[in-house]
Amino acid sequence: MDIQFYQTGVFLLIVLFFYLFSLLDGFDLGIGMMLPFARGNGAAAGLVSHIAPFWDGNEVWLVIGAGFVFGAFPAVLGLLLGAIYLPFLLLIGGLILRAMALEYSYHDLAHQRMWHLVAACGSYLVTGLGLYFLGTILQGLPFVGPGKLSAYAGDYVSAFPVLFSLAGIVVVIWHGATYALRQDPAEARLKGTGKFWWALLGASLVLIAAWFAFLPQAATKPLAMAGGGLFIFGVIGGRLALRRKGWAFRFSCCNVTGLWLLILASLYPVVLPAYQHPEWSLTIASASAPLSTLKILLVVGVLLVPIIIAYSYFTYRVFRRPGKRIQNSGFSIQN
Amino acid sequence: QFGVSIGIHYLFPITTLGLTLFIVIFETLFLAKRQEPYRSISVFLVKVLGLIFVAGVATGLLMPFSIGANWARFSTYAGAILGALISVEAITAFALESAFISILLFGRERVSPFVYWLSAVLVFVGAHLSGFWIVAANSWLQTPAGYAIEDGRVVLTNLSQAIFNHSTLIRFAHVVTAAWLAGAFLTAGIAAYYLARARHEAFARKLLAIALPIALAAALAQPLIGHFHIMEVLEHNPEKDAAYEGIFKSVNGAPLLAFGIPDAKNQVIHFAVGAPYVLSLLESGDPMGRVKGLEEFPRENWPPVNVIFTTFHLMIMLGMAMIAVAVFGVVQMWCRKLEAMRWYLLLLPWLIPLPYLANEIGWIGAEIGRQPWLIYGVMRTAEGSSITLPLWQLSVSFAGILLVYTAITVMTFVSVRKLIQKGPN
Ligand code: HDD
Ligand code: HEM
Ligand code: HEM
Repeated sequence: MDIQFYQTGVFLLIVLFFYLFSLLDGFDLGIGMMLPFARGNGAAAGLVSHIAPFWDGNEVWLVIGAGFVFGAFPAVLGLLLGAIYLPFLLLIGGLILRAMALEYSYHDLAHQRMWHLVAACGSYLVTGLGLYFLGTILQGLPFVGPGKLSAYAGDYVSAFPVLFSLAGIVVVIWHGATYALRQDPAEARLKGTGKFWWALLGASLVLIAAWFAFLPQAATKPLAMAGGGLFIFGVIGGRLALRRKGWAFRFSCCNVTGLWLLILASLYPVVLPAYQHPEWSLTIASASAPLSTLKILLVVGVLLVPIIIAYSYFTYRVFRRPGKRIQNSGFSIQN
Repeated sequence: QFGVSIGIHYLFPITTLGLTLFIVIFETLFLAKRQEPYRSISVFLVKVLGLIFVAGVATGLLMPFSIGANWARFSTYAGAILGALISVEAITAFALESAFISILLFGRERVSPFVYWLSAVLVFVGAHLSGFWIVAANSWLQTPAGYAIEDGRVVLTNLSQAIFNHSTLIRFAHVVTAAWLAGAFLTAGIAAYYLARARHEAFARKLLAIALPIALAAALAQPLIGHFHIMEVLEHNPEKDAAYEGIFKSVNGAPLLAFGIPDAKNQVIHFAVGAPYVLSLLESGDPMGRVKGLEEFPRENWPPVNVIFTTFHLMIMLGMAMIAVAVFGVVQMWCRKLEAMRWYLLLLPWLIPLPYLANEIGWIGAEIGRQPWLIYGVMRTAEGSSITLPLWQLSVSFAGILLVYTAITVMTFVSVRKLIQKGPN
């Protein structure tokens, strides 16, 4: 088979990894971002206990995705990191903060509140910046020549990524909230989530409007239409199914899926589009690694993804006995 | 920058490798005998592992990206191989490890002892797989194989040659043994700490009884593996070997130096102490065999002799010291006198840093010994590190990374210490 097949295959695989990351780690991040607003004794710790065994495994999808980008499109990683190094470090810093803070929030009980706030900061950093980068990429990067990105920070500020990032944060929090609802459908939480739905509705309108306004050529592709439709379906379904256990979360998964279809439709077949200079864009074909590497990545990816999903599913099952709250290994480092 | 962050990162994964070994041992014992103190030992070690693991993840997240950022040209050039290895590492090892460590950390009450044991084994496998891939990537830089160069970049031609390049297996053996040594000294130190204070004695006795022999075995294996490692270095990176041994001029019947202060400018080793003919014997099997000196290689291909001669010999001295410590401990344990030797028990916890030092020094020597090459014989470091970032950004990021990494290390150290002081209950 020819190289195009492998290029496209690996590209789709990478999109799949980032999709799984946002689907799974999305609710961890959403819960992280809800922590400052948790009222009442032990509410925040309760929220953390829903994600404690999972966030690390979910985060691995990001590491896998990044690894595959490095392997399959090495030029992309070099170019991007060269241009947005500091903000990017900040994003990684957010992941580091979240990891350490979640872990210590159940060991260092004396400062639990502080650790929850740190975990929230980390989650906002990761979500906000990650979406901002994605938005910038979708809109097109400020290339100043073939293979050269602008070094001037002002060139990276524009309306679409800002809107995308803000609206996206709401979508992610909704994802976390419905996940919490699925784990523990308490009455107070139902009410709060119901109210938050209006924010989700607002964010969705902004998102769709922004897409049409800034990326019109993309928004009208059939795949994009399907994605947008799925997204709207998820938003409305989420409201209707609010009181049916687990269903709001499932609809929220539709949101995320729809969004990624939109993203895929807007991007393909370009990896890094150039703003206003389409001829400088990095396409799947022009940025990819040699065939031999692509082959290995595709084979390994296709073989292992089902296996990983299978054993991850097993661990989720282990921690989903009804009615029981997840106990962490239950020690504190206080004397 | 990358050197510092990976140097810190490295502390945690080796601890993970060592700890998972012990967790598997004690889970197996518990599964077989179903009695204390095996279970509480494992419970305790899992707690330590939790703290170490999260620090390993937190410090590791940055690693692949900092390769991309600091060596943009290098990563584009060699991404076809290194990127492939790192992707495979993430998808085979990280995923496995982090999925099942959730069961180790949170699931003891939720799964049967057998499934729990299986999870421990899978975490052990995942951690070692991860070490394997990263060592393979690093070894490829030292002894590249299975590649061709097309259109100004590296193209993978033979996967298994690239993975199992000339130094992967021997380096992996050396690194894993080094990690187990670190785990053994850590657990032995913990056990000795309790024994010396007469706390948790049943627990500590069993732990020590397993940790010390493992420490001994690993410490004894290390020079042997190291010897084969240096033979591989001799064959594939000969100038590095000459620098390790401090041989400037080719000679017959070269001495094995144990100590000395190298002086690359004047090409001599001051205060050299060593065993005559032994190096020739080790390297060629003949006491009068010829050993190539650095003079036979072009000066611009010399690694920084002073640094790597020193680090190499420090590593070996540390190795010898650890053998001494472990032999003494095991012999005394055999004679059932160990618990009377309070000074030894008090000393052991202070020796926990030894294997860590040897690990760090070993890597630094191996990495600096690769200079001036980034990929041995293929790309020089100066060519690969085409850093496009302005200086202030580099300084800011360096300061930030240093701060965060130091904070993580200190936090982890303090918490593990508190956990140990608090004890297994
Ligand atoms: C991907 C492979 C890889 C791996 C697994 C490691 N390194 Fe490395 N290291 C490099 C790839 C590399 C490199 C990218 O090739 C560097 C950067 C510049 C250079 O000269 O080599 C390097 C440089 C480098 C330097 C600076 C050398 C100099 O500037 O002269 C140090 C001190 C270390 N490393 C230390 C380590 C330690 C302690 C490691 C243990 C975990 C380690 N490296 C693993
Ligand atoms: C270029 C060098 C390296 C890179 C890019 C790198 C990258 C990473 C990353 C991204 C993680 C976090 C994964 C997660 O989210 O779970 C990690 C963890 C880990 N790394 Fe590294 N690493 C490097 C060097 C090493 C070395 C030299 C070893 C061991 C010999 C090693 C062994 C591990 C292990 C066992 C883990 C799992 C986390 C833990 O157990 O603490 N790594 N590494
Ligand atoms: C006592 C005799 C020892 C010998 C003869 C020996 C030999 C070697 C050699 C030849 C290398 C260089 C590999 C290269 O440049 O490519 C090396 C590297 C290394 N050593 Fe040792 N070693 C010994 C003890 C130890 C001990 C006790 C530890 C740690 C506890 C250790 C940890 C390391 C590490 C982490 C590396 C870097 C990774 C590698 O290249 O394998 N060594 N050793």
